[in-house]
Amino acid sequence: MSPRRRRGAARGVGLVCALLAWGGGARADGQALVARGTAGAYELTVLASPAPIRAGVVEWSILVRDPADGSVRLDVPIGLALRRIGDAAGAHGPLLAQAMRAASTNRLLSTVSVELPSAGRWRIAARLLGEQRAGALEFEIEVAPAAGVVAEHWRALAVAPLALGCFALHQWLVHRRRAGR
Amino acid sequence: MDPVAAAILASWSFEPGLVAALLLVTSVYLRGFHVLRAQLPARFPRWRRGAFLAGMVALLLALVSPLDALADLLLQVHMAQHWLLMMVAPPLLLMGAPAIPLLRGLPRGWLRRGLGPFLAWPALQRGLRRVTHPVFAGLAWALTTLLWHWPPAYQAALRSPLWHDLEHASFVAASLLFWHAVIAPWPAHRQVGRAGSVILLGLAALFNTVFSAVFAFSTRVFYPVYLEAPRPWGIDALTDQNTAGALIWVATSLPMLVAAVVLLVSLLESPRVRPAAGGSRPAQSRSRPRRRSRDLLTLPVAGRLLRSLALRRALQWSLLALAAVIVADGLLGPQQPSALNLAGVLPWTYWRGLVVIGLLVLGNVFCAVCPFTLPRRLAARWLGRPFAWPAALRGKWLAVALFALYLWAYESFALWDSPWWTAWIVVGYFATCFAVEGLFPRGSFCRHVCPIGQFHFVHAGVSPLEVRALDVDTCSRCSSHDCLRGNERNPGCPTELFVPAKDGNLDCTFCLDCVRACPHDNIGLVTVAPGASIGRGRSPRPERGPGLAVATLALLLCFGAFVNAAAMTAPVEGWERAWASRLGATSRFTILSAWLAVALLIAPALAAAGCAALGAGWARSTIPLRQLATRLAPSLVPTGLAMWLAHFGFHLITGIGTLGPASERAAVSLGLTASAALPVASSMATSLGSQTLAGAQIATLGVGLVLSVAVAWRSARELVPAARSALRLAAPWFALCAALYAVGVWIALQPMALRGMVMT
Repeated sequence: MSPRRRRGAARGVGLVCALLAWGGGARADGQALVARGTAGAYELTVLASPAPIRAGVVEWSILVRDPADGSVRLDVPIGLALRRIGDAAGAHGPLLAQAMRAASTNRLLSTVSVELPSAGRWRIAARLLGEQRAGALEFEIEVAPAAGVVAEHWRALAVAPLALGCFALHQWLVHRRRAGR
Repeated sequence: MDPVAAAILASWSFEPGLVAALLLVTSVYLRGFHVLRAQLPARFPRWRRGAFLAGMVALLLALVSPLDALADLLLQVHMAQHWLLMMVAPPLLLMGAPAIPLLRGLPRGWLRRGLGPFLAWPALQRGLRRVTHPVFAGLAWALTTLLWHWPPAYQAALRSPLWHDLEHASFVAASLLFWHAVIAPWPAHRQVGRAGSVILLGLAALFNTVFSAVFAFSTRVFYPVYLEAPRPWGIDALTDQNTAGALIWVATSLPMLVAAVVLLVSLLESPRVRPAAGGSRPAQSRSRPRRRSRDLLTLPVAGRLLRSLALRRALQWSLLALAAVIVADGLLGPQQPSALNLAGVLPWTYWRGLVVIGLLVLGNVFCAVCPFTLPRRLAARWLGRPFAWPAALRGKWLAVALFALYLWAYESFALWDSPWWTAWIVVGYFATCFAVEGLFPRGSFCRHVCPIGQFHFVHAGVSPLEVRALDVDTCSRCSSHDCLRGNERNPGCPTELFVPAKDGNLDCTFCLDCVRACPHDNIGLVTVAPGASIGRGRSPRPERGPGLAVATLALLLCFGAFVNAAAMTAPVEGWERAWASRLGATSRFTILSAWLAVALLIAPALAAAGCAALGAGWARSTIPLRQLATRLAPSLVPTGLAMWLAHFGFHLITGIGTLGPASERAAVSLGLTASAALPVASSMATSLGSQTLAGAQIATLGVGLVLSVAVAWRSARELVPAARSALRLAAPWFALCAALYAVGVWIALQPMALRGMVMT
């Protein structure tokens, strides 16, 4: 390969990297268990992230198993209904969402992201969807207030101070080297 | 295949940032390896490259393969992942002798000027020697292993992606140190000899035996999280833990055993006479080639296309056709919702975002294919260019006034939401350009009038490309100066730039007329360091500075970016309404005009004057305040451009799907299709996530801030050579940049009013 083509290829790789890096965060399945129980003929395990659960976007993952033999069932669609307890006016809910295996990194689980608008106690129902699969696992969780701005965006906020620190150190080293000559 | 097995095999976690980082490091290594192999083939045999690539693959497998997805459910899978991260990837990577190839693979300027001072820093060298000492490296490896397998830390890592990332990063870092002490990849020297490395391996193997035996023979589950988690395939948590221990015992011992054998064999075979200290260091290149900027015009296909006048004209005609579509739809199409009108979508959502991205990636691409100047020759033929441009209007003051007027009109008349106004602005732009180019000398519109052009001229200082003379000696021998005056076949520079004396992109339209006119083929489109020419005028003499008008323009563009973005946030709209009711103003114009006058005119003037006065006072400088302000105010340009990018990029991403419905609606209006499914607009914001978008905006602002600080520092050093005085001179400007950054972060965190966009 000629040097020019190599440079072109390197630029191409750089561009691809930049596009990939820009493409957003990954969907993490590293979640905490929030409920496990029976719904109809199946056993459901519900996991959520972040832990502890805070107001804002929460990722829910559900594993469906056959309690008879412990085997994982991949063909059972699951829906979530979320309602804030004490929300008589119905301002927040019920929020409805369907968990999808395609949205999950671990394809044994079905995942969906739901934005919880406020802190407080929430009642969650994980329902079996589809024909002849009536049943739901209901449970309650405590949702903490949303994380602060700094906690939410600390990575992006750290870019400037870190880069400025490096720049200051670089300039100090350059100055020191020149002074030493 | 069993569906459960198929689901597991499909559980790859594609993490874009991670894959991008691995890809980038690999490409830098391969680039450096290629160069070094040509110079030192004995030192860099092919197997080193293979080892490095295998190490990268091991990292990728550990972090994105189904191992990562299943690690939450099975301890043995998690241990296999840790084994790849600690015992497979690090030794393979280090066998590739990556230090020098990774440095050599970087662009030379980055290495010499950017990393050079760090690499030559004695404290850093001492620190590296200490952390790669076998005693430190061995202890770090063992303690990291112990710490992260302590149940609270392990469970925290399972529950939090951040702690999980930190766990993996510390595993890789500690193992790199450990294996560095064992392998001592070239050009590192063994600090305790091969025998010391063998002893280190022996101690590590002993530690591993005890550690894994605890897991293999345990009778209680250490991590309750696996008791709670669903157990796939009916494997109970204790069996899983015992299996994990056995796996770690065997799998970790293997690479250690292989390394120990290799070391012992080489110890037995090694000559008694050791090479002299430094003898294996890379040889210095005897003749360092002169650094030349890369000329894009010499590229095989792209260079020909860039030079092609036919292509430029074709692009200009295409944009002219788009302008005609905007005018027609703006005047004749439905006015509301504006997102279903091409005049509401093409300029405000697409064009603005794309040209700012173009400025950052390439340069002043819009001026290069500007449709407004297309009828320039026709205007000259009809109107005869009878006048000289008035001396009173030379410079940038008219453009400053027009840009301020545009910013005021944008808010006052909600231009983004009015296809009718948008269409008339386009018509007015064409008419003004035609008249100015017909009555006054060629290029008068670009240089003295066009606010869009000024936006690009100033911000192109951050661009990575510049039109520049390739060889100064050739220019000094040239007497015809065709690049400026033109010749029979090609016109010269429309903005009267003399290429040999040109410094930076100010007033350069990237039209490449100079390239085509130069009889010596001595002008190129070369790569430059972004921001290198900011704070300098058209003159190559930096001490002159860009002049008060350009500095004022830079201030206006910077503050305008923040005002323009802030105006679409809910709190600012609320303040406008609150002030209007408090003052009893019946018209929104009054409040808006007062606010814009303060934010666009008074605040920048006071800020620049204040920073110049404060800096001069603190540094006890005798340089006139006006000169200080004109030299240092342009350093705000990167911060302003970052805000423009964050703002326009936000609209581009959130409104990327609006072209479809608007085109469909226009096609229905023209009778080209029978019906359209309206209004449907997909939004990338949904898939990207508002938090990701805000994070990207904040990071963009951070990069702008850093570049502004760097430019201010360089300008201050050019004004006063003493570092301490320069720091004092520039400090108020640093503070101003930081304050603008804080405002930008605040804007990015506000709920944005998606004005004029259809969202589902």
